[in-house]
Amino acid sequence: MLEGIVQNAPLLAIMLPLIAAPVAVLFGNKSVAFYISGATLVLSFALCVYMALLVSDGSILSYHIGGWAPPIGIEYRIDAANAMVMIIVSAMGALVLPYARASIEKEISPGHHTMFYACYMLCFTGLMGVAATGDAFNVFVFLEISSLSTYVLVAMGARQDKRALSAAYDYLILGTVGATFFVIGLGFLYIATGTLNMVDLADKLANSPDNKTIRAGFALIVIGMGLKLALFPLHRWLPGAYSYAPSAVSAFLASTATKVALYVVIRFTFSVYDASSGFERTTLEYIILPLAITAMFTASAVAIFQMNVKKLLAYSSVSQIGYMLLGLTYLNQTGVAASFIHMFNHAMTKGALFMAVGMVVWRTGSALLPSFAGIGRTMPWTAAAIVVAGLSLIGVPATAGFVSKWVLMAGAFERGWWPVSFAIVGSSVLAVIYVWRLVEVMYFQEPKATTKDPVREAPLAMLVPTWILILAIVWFGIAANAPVELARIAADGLLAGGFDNGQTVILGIPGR
Amino acid sequence: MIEFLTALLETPVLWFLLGAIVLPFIPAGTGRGLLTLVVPIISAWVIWTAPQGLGGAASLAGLDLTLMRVDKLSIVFGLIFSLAAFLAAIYAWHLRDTVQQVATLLYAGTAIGAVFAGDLLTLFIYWEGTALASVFLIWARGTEGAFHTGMRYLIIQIGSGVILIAGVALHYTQTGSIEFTSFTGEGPHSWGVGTWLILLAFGIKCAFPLLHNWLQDSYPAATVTGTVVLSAFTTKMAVYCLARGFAGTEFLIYVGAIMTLFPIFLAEIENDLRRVLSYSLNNQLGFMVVGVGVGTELALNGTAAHAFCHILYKSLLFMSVGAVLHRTGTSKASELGGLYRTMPLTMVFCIIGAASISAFPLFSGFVSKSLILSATADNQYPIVWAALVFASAGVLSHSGIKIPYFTFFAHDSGKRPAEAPTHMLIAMGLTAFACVFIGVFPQTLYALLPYSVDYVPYTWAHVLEQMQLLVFALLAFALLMKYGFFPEEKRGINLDTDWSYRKMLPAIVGFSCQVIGAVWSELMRGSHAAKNAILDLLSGYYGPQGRAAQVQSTGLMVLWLAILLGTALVLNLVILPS
Amino acid sequence: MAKPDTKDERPISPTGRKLTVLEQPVVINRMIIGLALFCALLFLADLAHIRHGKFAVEDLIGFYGFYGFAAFAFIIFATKALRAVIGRDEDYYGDRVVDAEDYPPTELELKEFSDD
Repeated sequence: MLEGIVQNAPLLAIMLPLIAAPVAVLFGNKSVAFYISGATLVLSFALCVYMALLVSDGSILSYHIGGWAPPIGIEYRIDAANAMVMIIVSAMGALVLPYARASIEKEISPGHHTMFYACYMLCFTGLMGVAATGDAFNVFVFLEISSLSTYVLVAMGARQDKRALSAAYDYLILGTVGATFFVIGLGFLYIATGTLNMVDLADKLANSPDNKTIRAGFALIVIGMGLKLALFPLHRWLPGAYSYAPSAVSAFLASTATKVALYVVIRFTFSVYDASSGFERTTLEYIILPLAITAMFTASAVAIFQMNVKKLLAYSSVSQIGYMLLGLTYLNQTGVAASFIHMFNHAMTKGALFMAVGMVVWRTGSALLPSFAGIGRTMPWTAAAIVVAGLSLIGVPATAGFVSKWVLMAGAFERGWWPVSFAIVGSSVLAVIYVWRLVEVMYFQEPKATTKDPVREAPLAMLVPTWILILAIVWFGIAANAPVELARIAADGLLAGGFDNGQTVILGIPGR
Repeated sequence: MIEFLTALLETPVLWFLLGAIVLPFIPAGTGRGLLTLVVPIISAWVIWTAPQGLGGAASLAGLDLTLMRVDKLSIVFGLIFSLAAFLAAIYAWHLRDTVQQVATLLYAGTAIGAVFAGDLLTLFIYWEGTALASVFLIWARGTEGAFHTGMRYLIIQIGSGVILIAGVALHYTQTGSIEFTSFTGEGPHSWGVGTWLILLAFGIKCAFPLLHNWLQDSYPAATVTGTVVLSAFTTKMAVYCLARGFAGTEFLIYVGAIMTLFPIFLAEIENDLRRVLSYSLNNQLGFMVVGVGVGTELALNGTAAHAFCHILYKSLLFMSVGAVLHRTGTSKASELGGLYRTMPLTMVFCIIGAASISAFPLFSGFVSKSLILSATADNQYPIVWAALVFASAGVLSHSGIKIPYFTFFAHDSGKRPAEAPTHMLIAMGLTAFACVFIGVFPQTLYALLPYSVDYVPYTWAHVLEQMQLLVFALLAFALLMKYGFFPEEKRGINLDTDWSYRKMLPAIVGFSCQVIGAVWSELMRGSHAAKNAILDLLSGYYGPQGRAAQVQSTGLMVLWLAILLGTALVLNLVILPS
Repeated sequence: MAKPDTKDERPISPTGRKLTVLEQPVVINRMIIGLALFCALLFLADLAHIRHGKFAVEDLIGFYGFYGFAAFAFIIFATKALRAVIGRDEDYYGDRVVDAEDYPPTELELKEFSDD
């Protein structure tokens, strides 16, 4: 039994929630649905940790679906890079779930709760699948699974604010355009090489002469995914979607969805294509790098002027994505590792922030800045969580955010791009300003006198997951070795090019 | 994490952190006061009993950290920091402000942590820690002016930390090491950008000329007790770092010499006595920087000894002026005078502090400053030596005479304040005792110094020289005063480098904003029309019945998508040859 | 600045009372003369040639004394000029600055002297 689970870990981590989703709907009871999703997500997280331990020595897990060997069969292929993304997704998924149970009580009409859990699990499946698969077309399939369920999840915020509907519609249109670009890019690749398995693709691309189909495919894939990961200026769907979605959805999406899309870009750029030279490198240096730096400043500047705290956080996400993209463009081990570390740390930080802000919204009924007045006194634990996570967003030592910025700066120096380090510091200063605005309102303004019952601390079911993240932020700010090591292994694997280092362990039932 | 905590266990910082955590849960009063007294004592004990060598190993992001590097240089600074925290705690016994008490403990703790940091990353963490903790001592004054001053202080202090971390990162990429050892090497011409940045960061906190003004801006703005605490740590932490990292860097001698000179003049015309003392602090730092620059064993001993004595007598002076402020509500020379009538004990302690800073024989300044002067003379820097002797006379003028004379004598201001509270008198008494004790028994201090000392301060020649210098200067004061040449104290402030960012910069920014604003509004008018045209086009494309705002934003996004894809394709297919 | 009020009846401390003699012009003059005599004594002590400095100039008789006197006088006259150049009113940087505002009295223990 255990042997079977272990042997099929990659498949189970993804398929369990996929199967659990319709099962939960069949039961039709929201409590049952909650427990089913809880059990599957925790199990999935455990499997991801297990796989991360397996690949932390630099080896690669290859799982052949149904025993069909690639390139004919579909393959799940997991190295340190995938494992890190899968851990982010599964950990956040499992943590946000108990929070969601409390938060949707107010935000989503009771009849939709079961559907919420189902969509949540489908979204989770999609994101995990994108991260796990070694098949290029499979990436598209899973991406659509996650996107479609995301549109539904965002639209569920309509009970609170009708604008959620237009935000979801916006996201639907743009997400579909992005995904279409991506699939057209895949089509070009298929035309040029006749295969869709990533290992095989990498192999064929490396040996094929340079041609325009391949080049156009790359541009389409990167730009299409650029929309999904909110590459500036393709970020306009993000603030609306994150701010009008239910709080739990915002927290989950903000910490996972863009990271997974970024992972796809990284995987295609480094493993399928070869970024060390040629047009891939040019695209990174002349398109991605300037956009990343512009995002770091522009989005932060926009965040400063936001009155809606969820929008503020959303714009801050756009600027933080700038940091992650920046790391890639260094094309060195430290830089790529910095991207992964920042994905990991930012997932915790932004997840915690959205959860904490969600609690304030839960109590005060509004995400506008004035409703945060005085919560330092009325909701001390929530306010403290916002402060710690805010410090991490800025990059203050002893928080996770510091570690990623430190590695990012070290990468810039290694690359010889020391002016970039000033950009990193400069945009951190902008982060100081928008975090300070929150702190000022929370601690230096008197709570609003309300006629209704006074604002109280949020319920434990919401506080505990948030504070687990806060403790994680501090923990990984001080004991940063584990994620840094994993990220370095991931970066080594990616920079080596291709998707096969000869240390592949085949899982599942071999044969056929 | 566990590793980090066990590493922290070996350091005195732990006790300050624990103290700061526990303190808010103890009701304000005796128990809490005792806590603030006990923590520095434990810290001193930990430092005294710590084994010499490297300890407290931890790691962060793959870098090895050393939290506890114990040698004689760090011990002497660690001990005096603990002593200063202890004396300040007695002085602040009346305080019932949790924020200030916690900030004081954290500030002292991080400063001590910095002194024992064996690597640059740990140093950076504590470096920013001191900045963050100390600003609360300024904000605690609770006025709008203090808030703005605190912000300016914080920006500069954090800025110094940012420069430090940038320097450390560069240094790390060049050398692959973050160990905190001497950077001097072959001299300045061999340094990389990283080393210069590190020196700049140290220089800001050490109040190098033109980087100095945060000190005089902020220290007079802090609370009565806060200034006493502030005066002890930040700048001396920077002196320690310079002594550790840049000993023997010749140009620092000249930097230090300038530092001893220019504050004299500014201090002399300053009206706020706590700002006079801040300038005086700057001047005393100059002596220490000269010692670092000379870099011989004698000179470094001098720097350490002078830092030790300086912390004591500067605290004492700030305490006495603080006590006057505490009783009268002002520390401005023009508003004070004649207080000897009702505050005689405070007067006596103030004079002891003044005599110590002026380096009268039998007081502590005499036995420490001579080490530095002697080292400068030994190494034949005649101009620097002359400047330092000149500065010694200057110290007498603003700290030795001006502070006690205009507070306790001069014209009777008509104020009849009560004597300082008992706990303040005890704190001042203990500090004054320490100043005299070190002055009379210099060997006790010399035994603590980093290198062995065979220097004898009390020779006939040396005592005679110093007495001549000081007594003739006193005579000059008496004559100038009698014949009315001495500048009268009047209300007002004096311009300093802070003018550049408090007046000039806002003016430039204001002017530029006007210009940019005018140009921008013209540009916007033009681009607005163009944008509207494009937007109209797109909204027509998506149907007239759609909600305009939504359709426009989605359409614009798709346009962006197209633009980006176009750029990428052009770049990949056209510009780059295959 | 208030002139010393000779008819001031407010209590002062016993030590302070003894020290009020220092305000009498005669005593001040005597102190200055005493100081001058002390200076002369220190100058004469130099004649005993017990000093050997590291720079030749140090061995001049009374070098430190004259240097101290000149330095002090220079500082005083220089600062008078300096104040004319950089002196400003307390509200030069606006009235929301530490120099122009009072220390909040609630933070202090302002107290008049009394005998008991």
